[in-house]
Amino acid sequence: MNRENRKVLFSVICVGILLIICPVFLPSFGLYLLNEMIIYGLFSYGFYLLFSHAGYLSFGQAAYFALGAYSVALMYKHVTVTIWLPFLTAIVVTAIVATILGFLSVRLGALYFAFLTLAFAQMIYAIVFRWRSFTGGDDGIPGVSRGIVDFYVMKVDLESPMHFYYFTLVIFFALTFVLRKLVTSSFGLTLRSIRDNIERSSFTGVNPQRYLLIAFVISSIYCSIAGALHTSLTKMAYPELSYWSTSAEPIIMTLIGGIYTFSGPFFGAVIYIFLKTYVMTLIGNWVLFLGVVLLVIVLFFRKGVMGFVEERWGANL
Amino acid sequence: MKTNIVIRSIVVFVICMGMIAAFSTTSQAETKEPIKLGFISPITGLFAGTGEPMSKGALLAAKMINEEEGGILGRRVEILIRDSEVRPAIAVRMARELNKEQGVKFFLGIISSGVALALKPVMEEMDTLLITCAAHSTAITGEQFSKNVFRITDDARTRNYALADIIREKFPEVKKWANISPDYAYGHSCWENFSEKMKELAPGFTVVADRWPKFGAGGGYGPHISAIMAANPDGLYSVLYGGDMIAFIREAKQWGLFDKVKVFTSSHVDWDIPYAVQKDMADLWLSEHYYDQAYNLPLSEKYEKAMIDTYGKKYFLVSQGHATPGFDAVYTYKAAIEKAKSFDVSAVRKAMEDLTIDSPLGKKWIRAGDHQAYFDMPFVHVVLDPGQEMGWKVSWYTTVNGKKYMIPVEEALKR
Amino acid sequence: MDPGILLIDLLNGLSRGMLYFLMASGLTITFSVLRIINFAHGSLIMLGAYFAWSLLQLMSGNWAFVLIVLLSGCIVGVIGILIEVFFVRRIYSSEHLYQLLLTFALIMIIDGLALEIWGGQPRTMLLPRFFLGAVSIAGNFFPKYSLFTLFGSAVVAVLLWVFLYKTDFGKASRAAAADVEITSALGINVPLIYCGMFAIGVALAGFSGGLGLAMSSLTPGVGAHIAVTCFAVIVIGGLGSLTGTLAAALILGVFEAFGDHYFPQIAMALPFIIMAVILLVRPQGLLGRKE
Repeated sequence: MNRENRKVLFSVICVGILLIICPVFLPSFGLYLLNEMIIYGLFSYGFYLLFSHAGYLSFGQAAYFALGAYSVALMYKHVTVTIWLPFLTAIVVTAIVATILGFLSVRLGALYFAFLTLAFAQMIYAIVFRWRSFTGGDDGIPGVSRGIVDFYVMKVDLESPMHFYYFTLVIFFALTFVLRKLVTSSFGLTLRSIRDNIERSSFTGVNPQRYLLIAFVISSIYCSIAGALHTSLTKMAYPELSYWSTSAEPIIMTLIGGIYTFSGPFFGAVIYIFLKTYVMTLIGNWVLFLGVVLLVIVLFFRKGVMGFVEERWGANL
Repeated sequence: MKTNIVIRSIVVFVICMGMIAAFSTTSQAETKEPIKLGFISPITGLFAGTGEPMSKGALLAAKMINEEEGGILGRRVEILIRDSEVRPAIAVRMARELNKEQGVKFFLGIISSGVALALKPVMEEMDTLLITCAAHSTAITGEQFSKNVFRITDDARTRNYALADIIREKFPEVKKWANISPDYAYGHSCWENFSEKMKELAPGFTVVADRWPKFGAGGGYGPHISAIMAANPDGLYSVLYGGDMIAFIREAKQWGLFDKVKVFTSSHVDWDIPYAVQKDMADLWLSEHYYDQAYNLPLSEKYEKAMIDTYGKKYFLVSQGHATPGFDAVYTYKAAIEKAKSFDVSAVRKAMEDLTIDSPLGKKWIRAGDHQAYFDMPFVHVVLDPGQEMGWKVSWYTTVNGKKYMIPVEEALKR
Repeated sequence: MDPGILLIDLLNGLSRGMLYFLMASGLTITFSVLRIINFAHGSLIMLGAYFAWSLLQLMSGNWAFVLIVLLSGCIVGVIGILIEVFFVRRIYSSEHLYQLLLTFALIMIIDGLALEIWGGQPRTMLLPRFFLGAVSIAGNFFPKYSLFTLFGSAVVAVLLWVFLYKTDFGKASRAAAADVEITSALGINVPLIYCGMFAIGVALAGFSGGLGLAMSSLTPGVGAHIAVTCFAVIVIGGLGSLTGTLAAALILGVFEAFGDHYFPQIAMALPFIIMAVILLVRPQGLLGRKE
């Protein structure tokens, strides 16, 4: 392992340790925010895989966020409070829907793909909204449980903020690790070659549609798990989770953090939520503030915060 | 080389500690610090006309308590205001922030039943109290009853049963009804209760049109109006409110809907609507949270005078509806805390049960079993009058006491 | 089923459809000439409505109202020029993502400024008496204002055609839409075309806001849902085809009017279902060119 990689590994370990020991001295609102950041980080990673590596911009990842959220919320309410089945339901439902929608979508060019993902997300929003008897309509599903982890030898109730935080953290670490392996593998390389030039990559014997579909499904599952965690954290599910404004959040977060940097999505989520919480109470006009921040980044800081740091350090973050 | 890594790691660590430090603001010890009440309502957006006046009512109560009554048990009252934009996700976030960052244990406000229901688990988790000042859905003090949530206004059932009685008395021949209400808990709860009571009172009650536009659509009611007119109703019921109702009245006016029906009624129309719509107003039998002419107690006069002195007569007339529950909620906390002689949440909660407070509307009594307030509710008939500057005037009013429609606690908790 | 009511529903649909066309036409123009999807389109529509509201506070009268609607369009058009010169110009050569994100940032800036300037309370436009009330059509009533919207939008549509096909500037912009390199080589001032057409697209948005939102309650953020409907319209019609936009807008307007009346459960999802179906079956839209 060379010098750069050692630096990066060290930093990653530092951040990891920080995340693990944080709950001990963070006040409860801070812990709640950190928990939210991790969940949105996961959501952003879903987007990041699809966009930064496969090159496909999706305006509809909120659909899977919502599918995950509602699957878990409804399962908790009607079937069981132990996490295994609800989360499995969320993953399976998402995988099925994503495979179908993804199969239909990836055959189109990038622009049409973006519009189609948007159309599907809005459709799911409308269905969730009007299917009042099942989803609660505009009222959503209040009082969603935090869940119980049942290991047969012991049960852990996730109601406590500390327990739920570690639950989220474990899932986050695991999924981020998997994603890292994925993007540094030959699969990731193939994806990037498809992103760069889809025709040329097909000449090398690769079936671009199949790779794109797999990336799409994996991305959707990440978004779905993030949604499932989000609904447990906030204890509610509501139709707006599928609205395009929710799709915009991981895009903005990844952009702020660094769209071509692996650590970008997570740090972007951290910065975004931090700003959102404190700007809202201090300045009030959060919308205007965010618009200006985004404008500045698009015009002057394309690489995002971590991209900027990456340049300075000369390392690959 | 190695020192570089160490230095960089330390820098990262320090930045992170800094961020953590920023998170943890000092939590004030509860000595003679002001008692903070957390107020959450829509201050911007389509329903700002309800939330913003409510905050003003609460602020006035705080001012009066601090300046004329020596605070609550010697502590000044401070109202911290947060904008919910009628979105549950934002309201929940604000509630957590107020509780964790500012140490708030007593909350008030809330216009939307959806928001109230979303806040219930959060209030229970944080073990804080909430007095809802406008959300009407029966579930809040019924099926979704929470020991942490109280309601200082009436609920959909009481209000709509009383309204149904009045409408039935005034318009005994009207049997064919159309409904257009927002598609969420509040809209459904109100219509269910109104139609339930009407069915009981009027044999032959039929619903010829049942429309449910999206809550917060703010416009585009053409097809709904078209459908209603095609059904030829004699009576029209709607609990659209805020920006939705303003747009609906204006559009329906163009279609001539109000000329076709014999009666147009709503269990809740805020004063900001007729003041916004002016000459486009419709003949409407409505209920509200407050109507100054209907109440003439010393406290009513005192409250009205204070509102006019602080905010101006025009503002008072437009916003009296939602300002009053905000005012009442603050005084409810005062009364409960003084009764409990403590700021402890459990003690205050216990004190609030079976509490009677003095309000501009007379005595409000909070029942222990369901945390629901019962009092004299105002009912008003607004008619068009080209001679008036606004284009309309109030031609009739009355008050009805909610206790008349009270049902046993076990039954109430099922709704 | 009463044919009179069906006729009213149809008129409702056409009136809505023409308004959708007006709203979406600016988006089509911007895309066909500049190849940019302007996400801020909905916010610009809202801006036009707010300007109209403010101007209505100052003037009153029947002709004044028409003038106000036109003026609000022009003001927004001028803002469009500023946006093009200072921001959009910088990203012509950038990746699509940054173009999209720039216009996305503009949504938030415009909505945020609207909150600052006009406040959070819902605003209502009090129209002159002439435009209010209803006309009797086949024994049923139909609002005068909806008729006004229908004809007003049709007039603007005709003017737009005249502009694009009969004037030099219009012809030059169509040339630039077809092939920008050759157009430039012919000595036509392409940057001016870009700026002008962006401004016109934006002006159309402002104008459609003033006209179309007159009966609604205005709040900052009212543009979000309108924007998404406009995207549906341009995708269904075919990106870059104005005729396609017209066809799609009318179809969608009529479907929505009937949908809201008879099938409210699916009416909300309808534009997106149609949008998805078109993208899957005929991605270039009804009248778009296959790229």
